[in-house]
Amino acid sequence: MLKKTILSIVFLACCLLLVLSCWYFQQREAKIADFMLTSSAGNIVVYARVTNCFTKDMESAILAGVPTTFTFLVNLYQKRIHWLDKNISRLVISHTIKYDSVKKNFNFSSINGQEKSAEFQDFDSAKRAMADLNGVIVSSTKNLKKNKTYYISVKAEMDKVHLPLHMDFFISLWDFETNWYRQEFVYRL
Amino acid sequence: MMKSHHYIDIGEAKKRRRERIIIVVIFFMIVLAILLESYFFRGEDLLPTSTNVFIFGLINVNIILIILLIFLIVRNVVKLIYERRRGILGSKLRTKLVAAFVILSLIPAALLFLLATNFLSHSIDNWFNLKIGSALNKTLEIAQVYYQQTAEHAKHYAGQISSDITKNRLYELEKKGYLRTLIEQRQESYGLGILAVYFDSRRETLVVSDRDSPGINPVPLTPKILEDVFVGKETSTIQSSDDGDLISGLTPIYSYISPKEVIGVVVVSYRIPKELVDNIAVISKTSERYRQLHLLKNPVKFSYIIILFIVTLLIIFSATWFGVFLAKSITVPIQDLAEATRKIAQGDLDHRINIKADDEIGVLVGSFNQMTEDLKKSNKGLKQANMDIEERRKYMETVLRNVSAGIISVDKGGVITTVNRAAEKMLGIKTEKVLHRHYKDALSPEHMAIVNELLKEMGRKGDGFVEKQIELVLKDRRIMVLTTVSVIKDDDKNELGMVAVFEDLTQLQKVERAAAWREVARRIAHEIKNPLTPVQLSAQRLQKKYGEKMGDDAPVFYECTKTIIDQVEVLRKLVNEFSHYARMPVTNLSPNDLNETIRDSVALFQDAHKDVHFDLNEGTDIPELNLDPEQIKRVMINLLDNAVFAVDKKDGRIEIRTSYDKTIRKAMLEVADNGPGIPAGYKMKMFEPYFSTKRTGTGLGLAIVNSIISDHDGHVSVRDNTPSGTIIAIELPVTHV
Repeated sequence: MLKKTILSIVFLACCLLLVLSCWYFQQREAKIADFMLTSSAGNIVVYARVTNCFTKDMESAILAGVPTTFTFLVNLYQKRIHWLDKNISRLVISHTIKYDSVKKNFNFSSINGQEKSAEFQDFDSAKRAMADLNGVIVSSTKNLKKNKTYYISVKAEMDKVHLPLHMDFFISLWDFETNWYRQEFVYRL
Repeated sequence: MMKSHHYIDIGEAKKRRRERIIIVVIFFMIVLAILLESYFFRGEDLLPTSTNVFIFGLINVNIILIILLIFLIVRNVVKLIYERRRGILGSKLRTKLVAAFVILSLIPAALLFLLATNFLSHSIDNWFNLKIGSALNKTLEIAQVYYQQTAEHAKHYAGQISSDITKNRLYELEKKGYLRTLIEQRQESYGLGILAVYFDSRRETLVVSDRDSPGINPVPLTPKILEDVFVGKETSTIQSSDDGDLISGLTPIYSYISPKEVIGVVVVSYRIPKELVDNIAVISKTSERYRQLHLLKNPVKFSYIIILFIVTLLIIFSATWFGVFLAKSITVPIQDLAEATRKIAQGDLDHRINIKADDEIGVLVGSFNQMTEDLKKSNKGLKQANMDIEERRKYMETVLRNVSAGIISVDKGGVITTVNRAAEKMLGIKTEKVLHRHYKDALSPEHMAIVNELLKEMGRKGDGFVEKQIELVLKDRRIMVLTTVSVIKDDDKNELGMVAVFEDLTQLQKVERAAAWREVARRIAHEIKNPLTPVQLSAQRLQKKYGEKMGDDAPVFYECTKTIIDQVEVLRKLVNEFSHYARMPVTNLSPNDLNETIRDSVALFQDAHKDVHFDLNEGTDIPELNLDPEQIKRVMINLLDNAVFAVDKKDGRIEIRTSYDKTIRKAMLEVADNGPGIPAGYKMKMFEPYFSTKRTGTGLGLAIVNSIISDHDGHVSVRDNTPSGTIIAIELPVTHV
């Protein structure tokens, strides 16, 4: 009887540990948040942010001068019932950060068709710039038809970090890849 | 010089070859996978995600292959342990060899692994020692301080100039000339680089170029910079170009009337020469690289330890596998040899070891096969010799069996080894009861006394040979045998035992006696018969002539003469009998049915002696015999007459049996009675003339029977009936079958 009770307690403890671990790792998992979709000046504009994308190891690597790139994939599809969804637009946006240890600033560059760069004195601002998609024009509203259903899917992933001594494999935990975030909408304007 | 072992075992060759091929293929696949991984990891180009998946796949395949390799080796080791527990031949030697290889490889490999791990760990720690890191950090700090101080200087002088402008109200348009003079003086006195003054109201910039590098433009005032400055912040920027870095300090210019109102900006810039920038960049890069490497210290250590560990494992597994392989190459032929020995011991001389080898084991296997071949040949010869001996033995047995003389042999220890059929019959013994027994145990005391006598005589003579006529009294008869006892010796004169040969002289003696008696009878008949007639005639004449003249003595006279005449008659009859015995009629043999022949005689006696029970058992398959029916009837009359006389009148029983023995091809006729029987001592004399147990018998009945049966080439014998009585047995040969 006692043996059975002990076994049951151990089993429950294991289950609880498993659930907590899953919850913890889910909380720690990088994901797309604060998504906002709007139209502005005849364009479909997207705002989004990647959360939990910086780990301590990654921060250490960036401060050690390792250039780090996040790639955002933004797709706009028209939803079709009896056919494959139609791709309207596909964007690949790269955010790269590189720390200049002499000047003690973070050089941030964003490539979305054309390159834009900025310097940040503090790491938090630089991290925010890396994680944010700030008013990205996905498509012109002219490409959309009224009363049709569309959806935007967004995903962020970290590019392979190239490290010295071909150690990329051993610290591959720096990699992250969010799930696709999908937002449906009906164009009415 | 070591020769390469190359064994081809038909049984397990395929299996072992397959295992070897799998191991070699796995080994090469691992090497190939490692090379591919190395190639992809060294690639400078950014790999897409799919390639990463491919690499991970390769790594997984690699792990699976290593696990498979471990499985194969572990399987072999487990198999070895299992075989050892089962006590399979060769497993102990194989275990020892494998253990030796494993220990020989494990100890140095483990030591090497530990040393290499320590050495590697120590070396990596040394690479990242504090001195190098600290030196690099300090150097970088110097560069950082240099940039920082330059920016501070620029801001400081920009602040002083801004203060002078505000104090002297040089921002007013009419004092433009004074302003220019002031900034030129300050540039010269402070040793500044580029000096620029910007007023928001004028939308123009007063610039004094660097005297050393007049071509360099001042830093452009970006909206962000202007925003910072016009909120009253002193700021600095670093602008990189092909000529070097430009460090600028920006300070707001305040209005004299309204001291919190920013009306312009003083920009003081210092140019950092390209050479210095490049040097600082080198320091920076080195420091960055060091920090990155420091970040990778533990992963690098871990990866090298993993590689060392895998190499160590591969060495141990290779050694284990090689140990298993080498052990198999030695123990498999030994196992085969043992198996072959077992089979050959079981008699399978056709078994051959099917191993081809070019080393000493090959020579051993060849010699073994040759030995087996020779063994087979000699075995074949031995079998042939045995067969010859067996045939000879059978032939000898047949000869012995068919020899009329009885033969009994004993070995050196006195154990009876041979008894032939004639001996069995002659002495009335059963072979299975006496064979392999000591003769002292098999013989009765009387016979033992005879044997001892013979042996004594042999000992006296000393030539190992004795011959003697002996009268043996057996259970139901008495026989006369000529016994010859000889010592058997081999070619080396070693004594092997003795052989006794018995020759039955009974029949011969009977014949000789019969012949003698006939001669006697013939002479007696001849000598007595002649005077009888005159004696009888004389007596009759006396009776006739003087009978009536005798007067009173006449009766006596008559009686006397009558007695003479009667006795003469008796004598005549007697002489006639003798004469008849002496001159037996010539036997006319012709094919006749024995049963039919004897049936009339039996019937005659049945009628004559109603009080005696006659039982005639006729054999069914008796062929026709060459016999004289009249003579045989006479035999039957004699035998039945004797039997009737012998039996009791109340419950007399006489059985007449006929039969046929196919093996000896003889017809048997037996007359058995249940009378009192005949003592053993009389049996020898029964068939001699003038031997009778009857008061009125002539003693010639059985002598005549014997004579007639002898004329038929037959044999007559007497034995006791059970429970009482006598059996007279007659054997008659069958010639027509």
